[in-house]
Amino acid sequence: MKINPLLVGLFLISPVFILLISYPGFSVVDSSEVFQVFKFTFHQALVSSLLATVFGALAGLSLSSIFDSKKYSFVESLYYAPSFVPVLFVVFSCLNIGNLWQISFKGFWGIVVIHVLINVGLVGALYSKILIHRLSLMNRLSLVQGLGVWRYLRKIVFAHTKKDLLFLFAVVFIFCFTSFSIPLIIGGVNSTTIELLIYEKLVVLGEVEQALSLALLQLLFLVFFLGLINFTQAKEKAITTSWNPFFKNKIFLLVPIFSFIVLFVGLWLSASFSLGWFTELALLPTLIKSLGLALFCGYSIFLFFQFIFSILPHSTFEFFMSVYSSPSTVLIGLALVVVSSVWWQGRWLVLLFGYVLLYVPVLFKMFVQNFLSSLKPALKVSRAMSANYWLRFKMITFPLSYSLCLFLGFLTAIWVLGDYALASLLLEADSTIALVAKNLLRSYRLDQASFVITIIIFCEFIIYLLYKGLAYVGGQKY
Amino acid sequence: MSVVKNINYKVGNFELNIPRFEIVNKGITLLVGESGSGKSTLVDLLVGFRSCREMSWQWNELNYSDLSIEEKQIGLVLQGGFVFPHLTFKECVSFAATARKRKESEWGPELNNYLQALHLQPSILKQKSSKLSGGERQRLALICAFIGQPKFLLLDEPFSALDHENKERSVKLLNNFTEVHGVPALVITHNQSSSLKVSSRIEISHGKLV
Repeated sequence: MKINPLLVGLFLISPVFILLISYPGFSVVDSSEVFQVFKFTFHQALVSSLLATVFGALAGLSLSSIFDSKKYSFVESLYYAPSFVPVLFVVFSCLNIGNLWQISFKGFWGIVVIHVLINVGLVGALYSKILIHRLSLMNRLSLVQGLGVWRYLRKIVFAHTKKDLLFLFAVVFIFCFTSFSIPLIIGGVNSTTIELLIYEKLVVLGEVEQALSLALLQLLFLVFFLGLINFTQAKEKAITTSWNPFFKNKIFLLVPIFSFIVLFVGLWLSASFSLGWFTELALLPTLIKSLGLALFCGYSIFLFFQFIFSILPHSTFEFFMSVYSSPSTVLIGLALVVVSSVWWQGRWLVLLFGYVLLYVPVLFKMFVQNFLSSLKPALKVSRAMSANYWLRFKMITFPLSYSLCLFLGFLTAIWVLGDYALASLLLEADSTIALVAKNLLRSYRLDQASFVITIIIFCEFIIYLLYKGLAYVGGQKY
Repeated sequence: MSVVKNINYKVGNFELNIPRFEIVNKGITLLVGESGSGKSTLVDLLVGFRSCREMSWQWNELNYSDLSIEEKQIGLVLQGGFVFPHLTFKECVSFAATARKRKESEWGPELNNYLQALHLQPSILKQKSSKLSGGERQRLALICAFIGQPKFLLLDEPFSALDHENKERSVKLLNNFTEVHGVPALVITHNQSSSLKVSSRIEISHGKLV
């Protein structure tokens, strides 16, 4: 069975084709307006990603020095937590803390601080894996040879991981560059990003051609940017997995743990709980629909990545995925609106496709590219053994990729549960639990908003337990 | 005799340029060369992991290079003895045999013979291959290459992780396999054992035949 992986690539960029067919005209946007917005977007993304990378790298050094695997897993979860929870929750917590201590989370620095809070732990966790997997032997050798800390950091860590740091910087940069929810809530008048401008042109002003021009400009910039980064990415394989005995300083663990504490203290500060709101807001049917959508999206991503792995290796497709960034959320949303206008009853299914289109590129960059270096030798050898497609999938691809695909499905499920950006473009208000929370925030019903956000966090915890259960079962079998 | 022609492959600053070389139809062809001379790249090209459009591999009136990787039915041992880390010893062997549509009733007794010949205990069959030592992995890779009844053997440093005694046992097994089954083998090694029955020898240096 031969399926060209480039068809997957075509599927991922299908929103662009849908919109080019539906709106064949391009409209030029005022260049000074675009320049100002682009400058602001670039500036906040650059500062956010620089800070997140620097502090994240230090946090990663500290994490990699934890010897006990259970402690490591626990701390790693704290690192990941801020990037996994809904953006709405992050913004809400920061605003609460800001209110308490008279700190303003508005404008440029507000956006930067929140971006850093979300991403510093993620960078730390990913960087720690790189330090452990690739530098394991060098760490031990450095310790035995009595290398000083600064020399170790310069000659070993930085020298061998600068391409990885660049890659992590690029991943955070893209997240910050295409950020929509954070600038929308806390940006302010002079803090318009390209994504917000696209949204404004499309939803508020109805200027579809201008929105499309901006979205394509944004996409081209990101592809160019990622193309530059891709040529510098390290291609070394993982050697072994072992903790880092050299860097004993655990102080930088505080960096992402601090962001974890900030977020949850922020929620706790305004946490209100009244079971009566559950019925007042008629949350049960909305919650069931949202959970169903989240779990179904998670399952779809699980299957989609299994499918991708089964048709790899393919160097052109892998290159495409390394340079391709999903189009603007708003552009995907508009394409979904076009499709669902033809098939209104299937708009929830269309929304599911939208989430796949939105999350697959970023998940591929963050977690899959490194995994492929361990999957490819197994696939090569199995092909040399004349194993057919199904035997390879059953015995090699599925068992080796099960836990990663499960993790990607879990991530997608919690992101979908907390998303309102894409859902708001396609569904009616209050169709999902995240839309309910967003609308409550906008109407300043903060107590009820905090209650609904707490429900979202609780549901995400349930999804986490489900994920852990499935991971345990899979771990026993594979 | 199988004839390989027109290998012209460039990766980075390195170029593999071999106009023609021959592999004996019966017996072992030895491929030697210093580190970085292009031996493993040549193996990749022969298997089909890398492609070179001009390359042709004529064998038994077939253009072997036109066949897909699966159709070539090669018994392959990669440098370092790669095996599937998530499978047990027996599952790896079973996979290699099942891929070539062999039933356990056929390969089961063969496996026992290989275990005996390579001085491996039957208890190793239940061990996960990720827990095996380097030498055990290499012997497992060798067994997986043999069990699939290949038409051609390509062995890249198949004895590098073995001590002297295990190496001699593996060499004896390889000699026996090629003689009994009439399967040609291309063996890459730095350190040739005196007991390896070599029918032909090829030397590469800096991407070219010497």
